[in-house]
Amino acid sequence: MTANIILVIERKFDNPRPVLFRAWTAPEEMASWRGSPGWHVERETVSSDLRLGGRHHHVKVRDDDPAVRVTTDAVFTEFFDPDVFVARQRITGDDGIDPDLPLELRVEFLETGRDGTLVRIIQGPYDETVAYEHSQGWERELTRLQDYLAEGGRA
Amino acid sequence: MTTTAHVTTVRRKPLMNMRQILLMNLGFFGIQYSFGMQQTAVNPIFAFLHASPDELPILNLAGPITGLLIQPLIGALSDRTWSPRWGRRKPFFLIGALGCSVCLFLFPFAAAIWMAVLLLWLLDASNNTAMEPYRAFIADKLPPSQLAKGFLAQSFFTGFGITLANLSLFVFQKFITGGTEAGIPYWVLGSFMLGAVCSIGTVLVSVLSTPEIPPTEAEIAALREKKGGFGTAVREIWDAIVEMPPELRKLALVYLFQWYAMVCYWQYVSLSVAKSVWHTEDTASPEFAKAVGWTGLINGWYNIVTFSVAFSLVALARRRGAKFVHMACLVCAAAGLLVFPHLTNQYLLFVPIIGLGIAWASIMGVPYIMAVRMIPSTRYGVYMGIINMMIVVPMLIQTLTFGGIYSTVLGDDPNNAITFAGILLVCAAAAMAWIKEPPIVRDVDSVLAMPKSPEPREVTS
Repeated sequence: MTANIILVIERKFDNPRPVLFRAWTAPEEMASWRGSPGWHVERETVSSDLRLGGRHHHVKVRDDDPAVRVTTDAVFTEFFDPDVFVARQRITGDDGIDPDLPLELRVEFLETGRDGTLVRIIQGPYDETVAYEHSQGWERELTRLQDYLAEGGRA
Repeated sequence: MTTTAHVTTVRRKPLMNMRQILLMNLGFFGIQYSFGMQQTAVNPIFAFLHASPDELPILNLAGPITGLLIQPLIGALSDRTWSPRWGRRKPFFLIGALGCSVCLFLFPFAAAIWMAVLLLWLLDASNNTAMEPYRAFIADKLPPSQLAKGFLAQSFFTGFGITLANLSLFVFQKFITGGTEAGIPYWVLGSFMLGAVCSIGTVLVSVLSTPEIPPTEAEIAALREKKGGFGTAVREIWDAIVEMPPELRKLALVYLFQWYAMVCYWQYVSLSVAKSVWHTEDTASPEFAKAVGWTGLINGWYNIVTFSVAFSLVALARRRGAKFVHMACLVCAAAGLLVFPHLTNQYLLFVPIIGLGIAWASIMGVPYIMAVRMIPSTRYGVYMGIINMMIVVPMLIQTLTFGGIYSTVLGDDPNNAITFAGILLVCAAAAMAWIKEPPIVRDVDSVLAMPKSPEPREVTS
């Protein structure tokens, strides 16, 4: 297994950058939408120290099988509200990800048009065999974010 | 709040090794060799065909006009192109390279000025067709962590291509004698033939060795919806200008200063060297001819510096940020140009011009690292074309305004023109400070340790 694929996922939102940055980082907000359909984030597991060098922790659980749990532990290596954050992640419990190889998640929030924000997620490196599945996961997760914001956001 | 549904763009980008990055960019060498020939050898051909010196600016009108019109148009068209067989960007730089090769091949056989002018328009249009999709190709293909390497590889090949084009003229002149019936020497013909081979040959290597990343089904569906001809492409350019991210607008100001300055340098460096080293302003004197020859060496030298330092800038951009690196490079060039006109020793001129070589490497690579982080990947092509407009418009402004500035403010002194270029580069560096680059952590050692779970009991697999 060679992890050498970087995923780059982009989507434009009709919301200002601070709204999106908060949705991505504030624990109570991210617990409301993170995870692909069929999964949810266990609210009580989410903790985030929102600063450079701060730690982040959350557990995603399968809706129909609570025994399937994927844990993310991360350190923010960049944190600039509302421009960008970068987290160095250790993901445990996902068959396609080696928990001993760190992943990097970079999320950029770029002003576009009058009020729009382009969210660019850069994550990797992934092994080629699982990269496709994870990119589809991100696509579905972003639709979930859009629905969450359309319903008014803020948990 | 109502929310419009937008397409998600997903790309899976494999990390590339250095060999793959160099192969991918090799075609840029051919394109820049072609540009080098255009810059250096086309005007002598006009002269061999008996054009008068005052006709040269109008005969060279092709450069700014095609740059202004063709690059954004081709960029917008390439954004809306996808063929499973030919790709998105490749058809454009393949057609462009083919056009360059044919024009370079035919150029030395031009028997009249109108033929040479027609070929220059076609050559420049071909160069422009190839160039911007090539930049977008880098942005499409490389993951963000490798973009710096990609763009600075292009910067490396820019210096290398232009240097070799100039070198071929210098070397062939020494060994090849005779000429065509129209009066074009065979050594010029040799350089053009070599250019014709390099142009298509190197692009073919890149095209055959580097596959493009196919768009997702959602992206293909969006592309199909967008289909349209020339009018749609023009509309798309207009929309991209209206929706341009504010930081990219600020980059336009940096470009205004730096490209205005570069044109001032290129236009007046020979005159400046003639005045400060050979103490002549008489363009018909043998001293002036020596100054022109020496300037060729100086320009060759700064292009050598360009390809020598291009890759060192990668590491620096990663560590310090692209913004800081570009500012520092512009300041190096400014310092060099402020010293340059005061030197009277011809050999010492090679020292300050190192600063311009460093800045030239940065100008051709580093701003693109920042620009592609400011724009959606689905519009790389059109924005690369617009960035080229940011280059061409200052050139046109310079053409229209600098004559007046030169005779009134600068006292018709070419040394002052070089000083003026240095000051403009300081302004470019200052404008760069205004841009907000997505920040880069400088001291990461303390936070890069593998994150550990604070509650291991929760980890299940």
